[in-house]
Amino acid sequence: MALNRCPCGFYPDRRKCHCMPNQIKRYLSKISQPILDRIDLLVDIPAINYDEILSKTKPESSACIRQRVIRARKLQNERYKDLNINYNSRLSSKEAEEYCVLTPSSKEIIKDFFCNKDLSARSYYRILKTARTIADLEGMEQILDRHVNEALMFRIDSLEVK
Amino acid sequence: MNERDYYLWLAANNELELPVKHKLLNYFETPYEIYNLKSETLEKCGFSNLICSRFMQSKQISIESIHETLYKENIKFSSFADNDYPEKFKNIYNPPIGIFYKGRLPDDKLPSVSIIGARCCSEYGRQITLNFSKNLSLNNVQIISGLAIGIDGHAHEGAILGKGYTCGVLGNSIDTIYPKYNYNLFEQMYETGCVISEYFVGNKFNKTHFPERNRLIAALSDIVLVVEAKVKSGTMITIDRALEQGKDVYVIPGRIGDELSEGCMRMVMQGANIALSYKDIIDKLSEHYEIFNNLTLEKDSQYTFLPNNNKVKLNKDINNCKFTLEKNEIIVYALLSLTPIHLDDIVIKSKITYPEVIDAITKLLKKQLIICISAEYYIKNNQ
Repeated sequence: MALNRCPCGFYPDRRKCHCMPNQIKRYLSKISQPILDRIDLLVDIPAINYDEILSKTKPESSACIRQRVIRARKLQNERYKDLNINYNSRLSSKEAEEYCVLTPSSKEIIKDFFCNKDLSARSYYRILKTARTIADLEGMEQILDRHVNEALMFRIDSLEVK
Repeated sequence: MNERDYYLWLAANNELELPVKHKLLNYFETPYEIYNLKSETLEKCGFSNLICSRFMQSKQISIESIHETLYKENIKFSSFADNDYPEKFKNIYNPPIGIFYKGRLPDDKLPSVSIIGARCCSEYGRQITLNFSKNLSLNNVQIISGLAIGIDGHAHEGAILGKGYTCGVLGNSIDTIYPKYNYNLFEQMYETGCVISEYFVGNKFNKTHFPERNRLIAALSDIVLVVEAKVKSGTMITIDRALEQGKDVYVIPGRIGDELSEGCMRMVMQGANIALSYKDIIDKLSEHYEIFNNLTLEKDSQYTFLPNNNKVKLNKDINNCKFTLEKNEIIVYALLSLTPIHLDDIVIKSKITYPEVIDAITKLLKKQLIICISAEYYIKNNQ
């Protein structure tokens, strides 16, 4: 799914965007909070300019990423062979607590995040599973602080400007 | 009916527009005489038939029904005949005949500053407004603005954050909440501040009311501060009124070519003062008010808003915060300003890896040195 940040799509660049705050609010409320809650990865993509399109620096190739994904999926298959599922996303909340073990310091990070942003129980388990997947992609057995941090980055609690 | 009731009748009269009311007052001096006018006299004075018929219609509204509406809607009224009528209104051309308000009227003895600007403001403008109005209200300055979207609304928000007094002047009738976007702000201001309007319940929305409102914003304040304004905007009307009334005008400087700052820069060309920090405004206010005398303001050269890429000052800024920052945190912090920057841009510009940037951002967020304004956009925290 893709969505613009405002009706014209240029926000927050005020040189181009002349949308009023209430217009932006109305536009973004097309997607309700419960729907947002159910989306695991929310990423904000800024527009890229001409230089960036032609830039010489090559990003990581898709083939390379594919290798990593396959490896991560194998890891997950292996881990859940006793359960009826194959991948992290299928974990129930109870199973998530069992398989996505956090270190005390990462628990602290999530606690801070929760206190600040009033998240739902659903999003808590989504964060756990996302962190597990990020760790899997790196081939790590233990979920580290940086994996949790990255998972939290994908959790945009609201699209609106605060 | 006593004198106050006649004032109330005239002020609550929705049939006549404000310029007509002022004209009538100029001719007949007291509302009592206006109330007892006959339509022939009006015609002789050169008022049109339409106005005459409207005037006769308005006489049918009983003063009791007006009192009842005031009571029901919890609206208070103040006119020339009242003791609480703001002194500052008495000194202007065409002072309001009476004002309707909810809350508590501004204190004449305390300094007041109005913070105004564009509706469509940038994030930079928003942060500056919040900073100025919060710090000014912490110093017992009353914040006056127009309760519109954008800078006006943020000015009130900042004042509420600073637990100060704030007063909003409306361009529509006192019972309507417009814009709806500011609903929560209205509710808060009924409690802790004041909402003033010249227009009684049932007054029709009219865009000519906004310039009329702007003269009241200028009248209530000692200093008018413009944060962001385009060349052609309602802010300019407020500034014109402020200059007519002999008020000081301060602007927040911007950049050349920045549409939202162009109006401000033009004002500087015409002789407006520049405010780099709220202290500049307090300095000016302290010439007229004594309440600042026992306050000791640090007279150092360091302003709240530091230039972004100046390394020496940046370190000073961080030292003030009593935190020890890691290397990555310093790199990321140095990239941030009051203009929102995207996470991806931070990664590209900082030349450190994505997980490191995220780690640094999480730590900075926890230390409240930076704010996430929306999704993945970050700015420096300057409150």
